[in-house]
Amino acid sequence: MTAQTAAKPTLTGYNYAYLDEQTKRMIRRTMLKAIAIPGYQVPFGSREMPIPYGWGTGGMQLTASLIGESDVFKCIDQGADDTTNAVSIRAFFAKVAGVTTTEDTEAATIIQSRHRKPEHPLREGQIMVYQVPQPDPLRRFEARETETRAMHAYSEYALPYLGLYEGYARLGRASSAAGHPVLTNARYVMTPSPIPSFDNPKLDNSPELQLFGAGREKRIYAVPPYTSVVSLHLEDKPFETQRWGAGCELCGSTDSYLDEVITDDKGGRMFVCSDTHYCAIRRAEREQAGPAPAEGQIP
Amino acid sequence: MIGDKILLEARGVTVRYGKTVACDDVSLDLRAGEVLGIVGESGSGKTSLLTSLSGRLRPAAGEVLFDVRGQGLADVYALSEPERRRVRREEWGFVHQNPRDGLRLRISAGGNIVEPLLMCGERRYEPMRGTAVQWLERVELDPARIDQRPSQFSGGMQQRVQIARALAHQPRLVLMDEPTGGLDVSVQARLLDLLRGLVRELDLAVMVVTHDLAVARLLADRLMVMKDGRVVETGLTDQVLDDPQDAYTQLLVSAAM
Amino acid sequence: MSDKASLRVTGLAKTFTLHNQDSAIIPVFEALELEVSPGECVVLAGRSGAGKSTLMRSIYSNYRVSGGQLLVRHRGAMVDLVTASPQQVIDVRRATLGHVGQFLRVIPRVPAIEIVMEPLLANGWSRDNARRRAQELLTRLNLPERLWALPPATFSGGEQQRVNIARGFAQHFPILLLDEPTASLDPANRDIVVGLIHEALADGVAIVGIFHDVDVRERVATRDFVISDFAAKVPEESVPA
Repeated sequence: MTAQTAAKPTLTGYNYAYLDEQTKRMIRRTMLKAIAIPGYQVPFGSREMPIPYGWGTGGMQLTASLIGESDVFKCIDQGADDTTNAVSIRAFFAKVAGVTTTEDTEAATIIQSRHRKPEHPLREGQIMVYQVPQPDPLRRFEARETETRAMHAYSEYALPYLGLYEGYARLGRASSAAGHPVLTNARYVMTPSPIPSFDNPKLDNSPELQLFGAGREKRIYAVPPYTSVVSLHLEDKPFETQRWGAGCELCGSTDSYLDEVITDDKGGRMFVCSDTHYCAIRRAEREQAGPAPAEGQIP
Repeated sequence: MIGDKILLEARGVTVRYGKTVACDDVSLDLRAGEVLGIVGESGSGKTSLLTSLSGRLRPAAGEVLFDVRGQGLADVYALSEPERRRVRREEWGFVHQNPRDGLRLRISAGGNIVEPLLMCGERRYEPMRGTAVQWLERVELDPARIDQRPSQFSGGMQQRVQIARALAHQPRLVLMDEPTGGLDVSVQARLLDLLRGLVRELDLAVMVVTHDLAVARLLADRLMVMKDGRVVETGLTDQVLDDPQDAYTQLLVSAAM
Repeated sequence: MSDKASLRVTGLAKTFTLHNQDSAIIPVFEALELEVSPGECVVLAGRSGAGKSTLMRSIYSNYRVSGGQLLVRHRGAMVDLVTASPQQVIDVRRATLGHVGQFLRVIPRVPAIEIVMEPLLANGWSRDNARRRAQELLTRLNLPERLWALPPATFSGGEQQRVNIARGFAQHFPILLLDEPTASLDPANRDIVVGLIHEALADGVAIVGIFHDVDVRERVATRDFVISDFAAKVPEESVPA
């Protein structure tokens, strides 16, 4: 079930894990600052990576600065291990760091992800690396860096609530289906990266270290283990997450985030777990358990 | 009614841009319920004065004092940066000449009006939205347009939204820079009407900077005439406009009438 | 000097300096003395250009004087308008000193009735009471009801002046300055204004007035005040050689 591949670095002419050691140290120093101030965006000297900006260079730089020969690396893109970007990045680290790669959430030591957090809860000692396009939750409203810095410094956080107001006014619900702003460690308002708001609760008081990297915007921020992460909401509009009527059509789960997959050109569709590994595990468990009445299927 | 307590005071304010003196030794005071007009042509220093009084441009000399809630008359520039920002946010309102400078064009009209409420700590959706609807009615805009973006409004309507946004959090002091500049004459007349009514109804302390004497006559209780950075005449509006003493004021008045 | 005078003017001097006309100096009056008691109507007499309007505007503090004292009984105490702060002058104008000029200052878009109500609202009257009072006066002055909701910009001179008078007489002012109030009115409406003036006088109002119309003047005047008695002497320098 779990694809684990061990390899030796096969790329010659490059330092281990692609980045030079001084760069890694600079990035690790940045990480330490970020961990010391949960939710605070620390600027760093973002390097050129062999993929363009907007494709995960921030996440990759974090991974590259941390990864070692004994690490086990998992990479997902919107929950899936098998999409193009996840496959490329996983292969990249196999090549430059010679690490064992895996699809198994439990077995991984470093998990790099674009826009989702795995369904399976993580444990102490694991590191979650999120790819972040826009690290500043205020940027959507306020283009001036001088202003947003002051707002973060003085806890002037009307703007994220303005975003919530706009959502309710124009859509009848919080418009941020993804990247719903959170208050970290009761101090900094942070974007959890464009993960669905469904995943927001997973960030709160979690045992693993969570790191966020924005390569284009040159910022790193962090949520240390067991840190409070609370989704913002207006007093009379409680925080709500996505819900689906029925469970996953492949594994029956009613607790996971579902993707809508178009199956034909007549409008046929099915809802399946976004987290491919999670879905696969559940399907395997069901097969082992033998035929059973449809579980978790809500009409 | 004009209160007794001074709300805003400038003492010998001099504003410089490098070697250029924009305002020279300007003093004034303002009380609750008063409208003070600052008139002059372009280059008179009136806008620099307003910028300095609004806490955004430290004067080269002199002091700007504001009756800060809980503190009394305090030097605005001696406050810490976060405190000064708080005062500007919670106790003051601004109406810019160009509504695009005072609005977030990509946020709905209602959003623009609730933002000051959010800045003052409001976190409940329904009351905020109710306040926004009330303000739209007060500035004579159709409340049904509350969720539309100001970029879809005419200039006069944008200015109304800006006025609502400037007043929604009930500031004690309102600063206006050419509030009707750049608008059609008939639109101007209606906006001035609105402002006059609001000023009286809300008992605001207002400072209006304008080059238009008709606007000054309509809105201001007192006038200050500026030329080349200095105050050349000050007094009741009707005094300054009907019996100007200074040579420049006489010229200005005769040219306007 | 009377103890209960509403208005006491002493040593008043007024000179205009026109800087943009080679600093031409135009003296109007000097050492002017005038006292008005409650219930008196003092009519300013003198030929045209003698300075009657100037005196009236000076008392109202619309014009600035070059010297002297302008004492008004305001909220129980005597206030000198010449040295009073601008805020005090505004307060005097709000509560004590009223002025009705020859022409209505038209504010675009504001309906006639609102113009009459405005000083009352500024004095804390409720909208309902202010409206009722305004309606009362406009009715008395024969302004047709269909005009009340319209801005006066398109009214005739007489109609505008009636709005002006209603505004001036809406609240009780201990001192009233009337500058040609009946100038654009027909005899019937002039009568009504005379009636308003008589009622005010009976109410203890002190009035200073300029009346072009002899008939009106004779019916309201307590006494005349000849302004040319206080004409300023032309300074030596501006007398042509």
